[in-house]
Order: sequence, then C-alpha cells, then structure tokens
Amino acid sequence: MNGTQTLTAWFRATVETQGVASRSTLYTLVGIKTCRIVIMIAAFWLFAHMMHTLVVLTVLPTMADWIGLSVALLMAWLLQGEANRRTLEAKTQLLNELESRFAQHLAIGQMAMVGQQSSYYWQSVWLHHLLALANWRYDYQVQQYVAVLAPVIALVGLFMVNWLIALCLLVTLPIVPLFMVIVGKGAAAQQRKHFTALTRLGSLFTDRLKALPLLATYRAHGSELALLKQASDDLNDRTMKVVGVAFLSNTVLDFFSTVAVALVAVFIGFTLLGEFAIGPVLTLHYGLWLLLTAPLLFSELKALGQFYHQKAEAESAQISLANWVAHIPQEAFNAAVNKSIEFEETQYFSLQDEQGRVSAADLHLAAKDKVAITGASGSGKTLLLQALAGQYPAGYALPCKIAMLTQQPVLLPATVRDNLNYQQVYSTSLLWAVLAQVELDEWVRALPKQLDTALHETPAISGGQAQRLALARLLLSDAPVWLLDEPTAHLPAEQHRALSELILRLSAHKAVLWVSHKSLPQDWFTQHWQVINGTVITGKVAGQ
Amino acid sequence: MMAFLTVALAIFHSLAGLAILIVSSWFIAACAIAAPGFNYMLPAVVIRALALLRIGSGYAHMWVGHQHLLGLTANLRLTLFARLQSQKIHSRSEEVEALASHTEAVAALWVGWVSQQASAVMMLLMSCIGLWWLNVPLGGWVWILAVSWLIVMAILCLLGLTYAEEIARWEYAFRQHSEAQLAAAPIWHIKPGASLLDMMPKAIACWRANMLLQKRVLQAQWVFQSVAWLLLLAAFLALIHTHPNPGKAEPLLLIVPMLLLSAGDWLGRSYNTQPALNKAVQGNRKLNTLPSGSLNLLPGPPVEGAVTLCNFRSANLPEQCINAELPVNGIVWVTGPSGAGKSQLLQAIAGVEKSNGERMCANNILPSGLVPGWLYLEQQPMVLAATLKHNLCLGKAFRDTELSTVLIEVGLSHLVELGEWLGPGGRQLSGGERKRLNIARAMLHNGTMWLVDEPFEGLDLNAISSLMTLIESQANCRLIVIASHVIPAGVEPLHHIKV
Repeated sequence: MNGTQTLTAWFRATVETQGVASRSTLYTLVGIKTCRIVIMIAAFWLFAHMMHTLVVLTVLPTMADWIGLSVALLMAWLLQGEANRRTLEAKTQLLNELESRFAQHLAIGQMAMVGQQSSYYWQSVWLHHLLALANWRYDYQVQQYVAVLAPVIALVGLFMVNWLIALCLLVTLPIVPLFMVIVGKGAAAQQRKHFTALTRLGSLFTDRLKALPLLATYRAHGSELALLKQASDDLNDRTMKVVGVAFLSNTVLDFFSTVAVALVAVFIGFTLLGEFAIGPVLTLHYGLWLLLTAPLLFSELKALGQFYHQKAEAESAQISLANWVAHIPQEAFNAAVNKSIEFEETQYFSLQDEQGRVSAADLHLAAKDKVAITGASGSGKTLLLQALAGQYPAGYALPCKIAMLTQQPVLLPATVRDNLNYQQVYSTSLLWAVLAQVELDEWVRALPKQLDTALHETPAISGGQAQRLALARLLLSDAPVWLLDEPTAHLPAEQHRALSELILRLSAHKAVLWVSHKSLPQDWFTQHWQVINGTVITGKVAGQ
Repeated sequence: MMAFLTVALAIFHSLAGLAILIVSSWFIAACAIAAPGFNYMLPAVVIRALALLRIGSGYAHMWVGHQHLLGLTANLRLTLFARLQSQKIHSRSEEVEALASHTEAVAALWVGWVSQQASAVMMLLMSCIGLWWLNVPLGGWVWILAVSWLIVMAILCLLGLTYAEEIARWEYAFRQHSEAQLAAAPIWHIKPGASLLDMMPKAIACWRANMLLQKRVLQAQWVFQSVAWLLLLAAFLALIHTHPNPGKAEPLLLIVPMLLLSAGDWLGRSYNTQPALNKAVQGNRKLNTLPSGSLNLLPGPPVEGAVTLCNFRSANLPEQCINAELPVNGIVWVTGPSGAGKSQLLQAIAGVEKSNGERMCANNILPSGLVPGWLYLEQQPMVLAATLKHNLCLGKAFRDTELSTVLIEVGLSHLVELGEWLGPGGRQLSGGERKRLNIARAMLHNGTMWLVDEPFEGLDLNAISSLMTLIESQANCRLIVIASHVIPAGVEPLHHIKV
C-alpha cells in the first residue's frame, strides 16, 4: 500500500512537471473507458429488452430495437479502439519525453554519472525502466480509476432498477477490499518469516553459474549440483507457503464476483417465479439486465489484477531512475553544456556536495595556474575534478570549458581521423599539425592508410601512443583549463617522464589541474592542493 | 502430469465461469416463462455448485500451476547447470543473472500461455458441442465465432513471434550502439551541448517495436470483439427477417445471444497472453545459444616436477611470447604495466583461458586444460553464496579444527562461526577478506602451484606485509606465481617474468 503512494508521489513530484505526463491525458483515458462502461450498461438494457420480447412475449424484436443495440455496440467498440489508440500514443509520447530528460541528465552528469554503474545498468534503464514507467502510468493507473468508478456507476444503475439487489451488493462491496487487506497481511507475514531463506536460496543458481571456473578448478561441480537440487526444493517449498496465502487474495475476488452472480441469478429466478415477494417487481427484461450489470462491480477490479506486475516493475524503475527523469530548465542545461572558451579572471571559490564526499574552502585558480593535486586513492581527487567540470553537483563549477585526460585514454573503434574529429570536423592540415605537436605524426605516417587507418586494425597501439592521441584531442578542444586525472598512471617510468614533459610544454597557456601519484618536478607548479578524505587543503609544498 | 493437471484446472475454472453465465441467464428466462412442471430447484442448485467449482478450481489452478512452474524452473536450472559441467560462460555477469528470468519464462509457458489457450479452445468446443447436442436455436453462429477466434489467434501468434524477433534484434543493435557511446563517456565533455544530445543512445526503435506488439494484441482483442458483436447483430437481423413468429416461449433462445454478447470477456483475454509465448520462445533461444566454452579438466593425480613454458602465451594476446623455467617451489613474480596481459598469462597457465605454445611439466607436454592441483586465485575472488564452511571445503571433507587453524593463519580469526552464511542475506565480506578466504581455501586444498592474481591490490601496507609473510611460508612447499604491478618493499624477486 505504501509502495503505491511513494511511487505515485514520486511520479507526481519528479516526472509530472512541465506538462510531461499531464493529468489531462490520464483523465481523458479514464473518461473514455468510463463512457464505454455507461454505454455498455445501456446496450445491456436494450439487449435484455429484446430478449424479453423474444422469449417472454414471443414477439420478434423491432428494427428500432436492433438499430438501437447496433448503435450502442458500435459506440462501445469505437470507444474501445479510441482508448487503445490514445493509450499507445500517450505511452510513446511519455517515453520520448522521459528519454530526452534522461539524455539531458547524462549530458550534464557525464562520467560522474555514467561511471557509477555498468553500461548494462544504463541500458536496462532505457530498455526496461522507462518502458515500465510508461506502461504503469497508462495501464495500471488508468485502470485504478476505472476500477473505482465502474462499481459506482453500476450501483447507481442497479439502484434505479432494483434497490434491494443494489443494497445487498452495496453491503458486500466493502468486504472485498477488507478481505484482500487481511490476506495481503497474511502473505506479508509469511514473506517475512521466510525472507532470509528466500533471499539466500533465490540467488544460488546464478551465483553458481558465475562461479563455474572456480568449481572446475576445485572439481566441485558435482557436489554443488547436489546442493543446488536440495536448495531449490527448499526454495520451492518456502515459496509455495508464501504464494499459497497470496493467491487467496485473488480467490476472494473470484469468490465474491462468482457468488454475487450466482445468488443474483437465483434470487431473480425465484422472484420471477413468485417464490419471493420482496423488493420491486421483476420481469425478464430487468432480471437479465441485472444479471449482466452486476459483474461490473468486480470485473474492472479483476482487470486491475492483470496489470499488477506493472506496479512492481515501475517501483524498481523508480529506484534505479531516482532523480534522472526530473525536469532541467533549458537555461540551466545550456549553461552546463555550452561553456565559454575564455578564462581570464581569477576564480575564487568554495565547494561542498550534499553527501559530504568532497569539500573545499577558499580555493583560487588563475589563468595559466598549474596545480598539483595529491591524495591517497579514494580520497576524492577524481570527484573534485568532476565537480569543477560541472559533472558532479557540488555548488561550484568552473565557468569555462574544460578538457579532461583520464587514466585510460578513450579510443573509439574508428579511424585516427574520426577519433580526432570527435568534437567537430577539423581540416586535415590542422590534424597533422596537432599530431606533430604530440609527436605522433611519424607513427601515423607509417600506418597503412595514415589518418584513415581504423584503430582496431592497426598493430596494437601502446599505452603511451594512445594517451598522446587523447592529448591531441585535448589540444583541438580549445579549452582553457585542463583537468588531468593521472594520465600517466599506467605508463612505465620512462614514458611517464616523456609524456609529462610533453603535457607541460603543450599546456603553457592553459590552467592545469594535475592529479598524479607519480612524482613530478616541484617547480612545474604554482599551487599544490592535497585531498584528505574528501577535503581539499591548499598550500602544501609539492614533492615532499 | 502436473502440467496436464494445471491445464485441466484452468479449463475447469473457465468452463465453470462460462456455464454460470449461461445457466443463470437460461434459468431466469425459464423462471420468467414458468412453464408448468418446471423444476426450478435443480438449476438453482447447479448454479451454486458451478460457483463453488469455479472458486475451487481457480484457487487450485493457481496453486498447482505455481507448484508446477517452480518445479519446472528448478528442473530447467539444474539441467542447465549439469550441462555446464567443466564449462564456463562467456557472458557478462548481468547476462548470467538474466538466465534466472529466462528459465522462469520458459517454465511459465504452461501456466501463462498453454492454460489460457486450452481454456479458450475448450470453452469454444464445449459450447459448440453443447449447443449442437441440445439443439439450441442459433447454435450455428457460435461455430463462426470459434473459427474467427482461431484465425485471429493464429495471425496474432505469427505476427507476435516476428515482432519478438524484431524487438530482440533492435535490442541487440541498441546494446551494441550504446555500449560504444557509454564507453566514450570520459570524452563527452569536449563535445558541444547540442551535438552531445544528438549522439546520446536512443532506444526509440526498441520501444516502437515493443509498442507495435502491444498494439497488435489490443487490435486482436478489438477485432475479435467486433466479430462477436457483428455475429450477434447478424443473428438478430436474421431472426427478425427470416424467422416466422416463434409463437412458443423458448428460454433456450437466450443462450447464443448471451454467448456472443459476452464473447469479448470470456475469450478476449486469451490474446493478452501472447507476450508470455514470446518470452518463453526468447528465453529458450537464450538458453540454447548460451555462449559457453569448455574447460578441459585434465584427469589424474596432481603432476609433479618443474614447469617449463615454451613460446607460451594466452590465445587472446598474439603478441605475448613467454619462455621460462619455473622452479618446483618458491615465488615467481610476473610484472608489467596493466593491460600487458599479466592476468591473461596466469589464466593461460592455469588452463582457465585458451593458450598457444607449450606448457611442460617434468619434460612432458601437458595437453590444454585445467591441471589438477594448479589453482588460479582470482584478483576479485568468488565467494559462493553459502556457509563459510562450505566455501572452504568445496565438496571435500575437512575437520572443523583444520578450518579454524587455516582461518587464523590467513588472519581471518574474527570469522569464528563456520556455519555463517556469506553473500546475499548473510555476511558481506570486504575485498581484503575475500582475498584471504581465497588463500585459506587454496591452503586447505593444497595445490602444487598457485597462480595468484594481483593479491596486493587495495590492501594497506600492514596487510601487504602480513600477506607477503604468509605467501613466503606457503612457497616453501609449492610454487607460487604472483602477478602484480608492484613488488612489496623489502622483497627481492628471485624469479621474474616481465610481460
């Protein structure tokens, strides 16, 4: 119960803003479906009337009746088609809007966001979680409203025709949710009782599949198979204890809907026979109509049960999406991704993130400053760079474009030219000039197709060459600030020295923040920042 | 057997539901006419009996169906696991994780699809036979209904399966494409905002295929609904224009119009189950095309003698070429920059990965495969979701005192409860604890060679030196090959392989 509320509340607060997933679309769908129910009740009336004429009065129904029934059924049918069409349209639209919001968050968060999870996780967001939200919104939520409205409408009709039956049904109606809550509590108690065992045993199968090489090394496959068999028997026993109770919820609904129809039929029959003389006078017309309309009290609730899995899927989508589908104002987005390439004024800043993972007070950075950043691994150096780049929200980001170099250079599975042209298309002469600057021109000239050689076709590119290629990309970007995150971490000492000197030479006109574990000459730097447990401390002399 | 019981119960459930509707409407019609001698008690009892039958069979169907589903799932999983003996799966761990849901989808075919279709077929068949047998007026129209249901169903299944393939294809394309884009995330920042948004992965094609499938299911229901109501209207029209005045009251006249009017309710749902069929088919395909490779388990007692590598390399690294003579005991260091193939070399020696070149032991060339007693200790060791004791023993029997001694030796003396559960729903071990547990396991199983991958990664200096002491003492009676990008301070490597 609580889950629904938090999911609904979350959806309302996060997604349902700026005209996305508007309530009017939802209400229109509910309206169409409710209209259809009203028309069906009318159609039942005409149908019952025709059957009454035919069976009791033994007269053929008139063409007027037939046309009336045709029109009612046609309208109901058209409304059903329209509801289907609008549902799919609304889902598609919502998906597009969710995707574009999500893409904006990715565009701002970049590595600080993507790096948190595996690519499989992000792919699941696109393929499953966004879809689950759209399905939940326009199937489950719509049906929720319809399941409440349909019994009300049916009851109003029933009261007009036969108050006695309507009253009986009205009295039994609240019992249904009451029983469902009781059963739900029972099932939850069972679930709690077996919770630990279910969590442990539930993941055993995939756990052992992942451990196949280990089991082979220790020759333990056979014994694990026996164990798995025993565990799955135990798991199934316990699961049955939980679901055996949970199924009762469905049975309660089934019980009431079936018994209601059966008893209404028996009651109507006996009244028609004159056995009972309670309540208003009945004819086959009224009787048949009552029999057709009474199930509407439960049928939409049953239909809601068919969408029940959507709720669970949407809840897991809620957990993995969190804030990533919230609206970003256009100005904020533009400011975050389109930064100037000018960096003139010295920046004085402090920063602090919400989780307290990184904080700094009274830092300053001037154009052409060279800052050495040190600290133990895991102390928050990368996070500091990501915060300054504006990827990680910490209350401050550099106001200009930055260029980053990471430990592992990114090589796209494309040609040398495409790798350099990643940001925009440059002239061939410029590319050669930059390659010369990073001392890769000779290597590229020796490649079979020079600039147009696909990187995955060349003989393995060394770590140093790859990093130089990434450096060339940095030079092309025109960013006035370079953020270097241990670019030489994986290089042997000799290459480390050569590449570091090259970086220093090429970054003469840039502001540079340089994270390095390996030693760099102290006199290269104008400032030294040390990161200790997420806090940036300034002023320590480099190279101690 | 369980499968048939499941289907039978589903059929009972839906037949009882339909019968209640028909018998009830006939009953009130008969009551309205009240022909002389009409025994009204029997139908009233029948209706109540049908209601009980429906409720009972409904619960039983869910219960037995789920029991069957769980049993079948377990069976599929065990068969798969047994099939994978001395094999390994070449998929990412998330895809292995997804195998759990694939087996479930395959097993759910009976409960989710077969039961529903069988119920629909039986309801139609029983209606047709019953109407014909009782000579109910207008019975012929139901035959047309049955045929149209079948046609719509066949078309939906055919279309549905093609769409499912399309969805799978788009999904594959999306995964390929987004993989490349997400891998480039560290350089997204150099792209201007607008073009960055343009190149973000887009799943729209996957969704479009998915929506198309949803659309076809809804359309099938919609078309079938129209057929049923058209038949109803046509039956009435035929009655009005061709039939002479009935003259005699006939309650049976009610049955066919009732069936046609409510056909969308009792048959339309069967179309909803199409996705279950798709999932089962896709799941089955995933299970059958599981990318797995054989790990050849070499038989026999542990091999003795010095190991020599000749032009040896991992099959994944054509550049590598290792020639080395390894001692019978002591420590051999494998060093080199990361990405140079230290782990690959260790895995190749252990036989976990394919290799080229020759592995010789006491001058005999070893065939490719896992050599008994050669233990590869991973960088991030697997800890099974099981008890601590089970993790240490792995199918062999050890005395509890032996286990405790080993735990103390590796510095895991704080794990005193041998029956403690490790993994989800139990104790989570830290990275360092996992490494120690892995060594404890190797000590108990007493291999002739350990291949230890990056044992010092993520450990502090104290931990490194105590681990080094332990490894040195263990190296007295066996060969320990260590791949590491650092050699702990104070250690003078005697044997050194550079990659």
